[in-house]
Amino acid sequence: MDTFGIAYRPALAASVFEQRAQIDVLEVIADDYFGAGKRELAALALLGRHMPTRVHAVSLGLATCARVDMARVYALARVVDAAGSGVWSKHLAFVRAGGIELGHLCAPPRTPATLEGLARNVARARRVIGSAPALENVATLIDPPCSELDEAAFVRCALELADAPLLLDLHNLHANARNFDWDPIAYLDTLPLSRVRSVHLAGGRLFQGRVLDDHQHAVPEPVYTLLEALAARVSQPLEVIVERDGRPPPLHVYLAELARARLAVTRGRAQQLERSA
Amino acid sequence: MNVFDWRGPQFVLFYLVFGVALYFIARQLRAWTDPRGARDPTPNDDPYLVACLRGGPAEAIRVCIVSLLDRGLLQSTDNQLHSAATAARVVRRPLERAIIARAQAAPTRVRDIVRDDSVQQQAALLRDELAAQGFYAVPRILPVRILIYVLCAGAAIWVALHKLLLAIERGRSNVLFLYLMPVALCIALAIAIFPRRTLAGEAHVRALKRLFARTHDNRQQLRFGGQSTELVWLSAVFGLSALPHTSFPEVYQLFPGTRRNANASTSCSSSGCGSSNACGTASSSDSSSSDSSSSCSSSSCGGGSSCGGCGGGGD
Repeated sequence: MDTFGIAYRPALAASVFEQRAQIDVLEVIADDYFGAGKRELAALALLGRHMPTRVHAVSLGLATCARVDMARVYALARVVDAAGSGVWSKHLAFVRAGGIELGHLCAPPRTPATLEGLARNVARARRVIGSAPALENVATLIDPPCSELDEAAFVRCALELADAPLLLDLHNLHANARNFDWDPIAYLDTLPLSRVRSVHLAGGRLFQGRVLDDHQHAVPEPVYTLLEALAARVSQPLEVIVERDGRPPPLHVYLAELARARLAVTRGRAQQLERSA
Repeated sequence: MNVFDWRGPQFVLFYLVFGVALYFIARQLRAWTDPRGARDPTPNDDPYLVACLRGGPAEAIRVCIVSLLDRGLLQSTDNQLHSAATAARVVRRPLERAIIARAQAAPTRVRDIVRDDSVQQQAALLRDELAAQGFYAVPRILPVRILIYVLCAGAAIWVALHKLLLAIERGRSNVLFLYLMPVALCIALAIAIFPRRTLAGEAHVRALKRLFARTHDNRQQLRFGGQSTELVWLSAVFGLSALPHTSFPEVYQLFPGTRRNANASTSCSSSGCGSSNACGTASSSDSSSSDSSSSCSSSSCGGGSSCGGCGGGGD
């Protein structure tokens, strides 16, 4: 069964508790709990008992030749453990280089060396945390220099080498397609869709003629179209998460987007049924 | 080295250490014998259950009244509550229905609603549900708690009494402290052994307070009549005194007892309120000793932006 949820923010606690029936799953940002004490982790555990909770890590930086920061991996393990589901995700990005924190999710050079580094880092993290992350495609404003693979091939190889599921961010896909002039639906068909476990929906804005994935705006219609197309192509259940960064809007805004996402998935599933019939 | 031969100051010091040890032993014995909390508890879903867990059935009724007032389903005139005939159709929780029914019959004072049999019956059901979840002390566990108390308090009294008899035998007259110390220790032991909640219930309340810390931090944005979800959860988790006095004067007028802690509660800012401030004891009825732990400092698990990605890398 497809499930629908939101990226959790502490300011939404009361609304989330009240509207539990309308939200199937929550996604928490692991980094918010790095360095958290027992009480914060107990609160996270309570949230995890309240409803299924996924952990989304931001600052791990797995897609790099450099060794992942193991202190962060151990901190992440505590968070995943507290959340209770054992399900976590991470971007196909790097966030630091040469000892400098970039404060940013950067698309790595799409090279075999990066892929090997990624596979090693995922293996290290898996040993500590106990499960592999769902790996998420990232948005980028530039084609990473020195790349030898296109994005779809890079994602395919990354998932295969790391033996990990895909967290497909449809706004990132939409942004890259717009910025590099691809056909997003054709791109979708080049991905290993059987590995898609969850989906991120978000919004962005135009910046100097390019789509900027800032997560501060409503999910645009083309992203729902992509969700519908995805639902028409895969048979496994999808977990769809609506993301917002910055100051979160009231919960009813999320719920409206979730309703729209449910409609898109329902339509996609219906198309699939029609085709198979 | 017989401690009963020690002189007054040394014996006082010994008794202090002994008392602290006894206190923690009593807590540990309680931890072993208290029922475990349910793995998947329901109090999360219902703010009135949470209010009952934190402050007892009467607190659940008070929080429910405030929620109904906020939603316009109850009106207050000259401290008398009344309700429109249509209100009963809107509410869904049994406690709300009981309060609305009481207020519909005739304009009623808060005190009379809190004492109303059918309202109390509904609130008692909340308490029973919490007891079934292992969060609330039930009569069944009282004999065990009494036994723990008798053992611990007996030890406290025996040590002091033994010293007292020796002191009298030796002609000492400054023995008042030997009367006062066991009394103080017995009171502390009673607080440790006989709280309304089980240890699991206390842990649950602490976790809820941490989880709702941001709601507490943002409470100044709440307005009475705003029909907000935040209001009822804030009141349920932290107590009515967590509501800012400036925005909720009606609440403070209807529940004068709330004023007592209002300043303490509102002084708890997002910059953190230490380990033992008023947030834990925000409600006038939230008197459990274990609640004094910190609950409302703005946690490190903030609302944080996640992706750092307004540039190229989106998450």
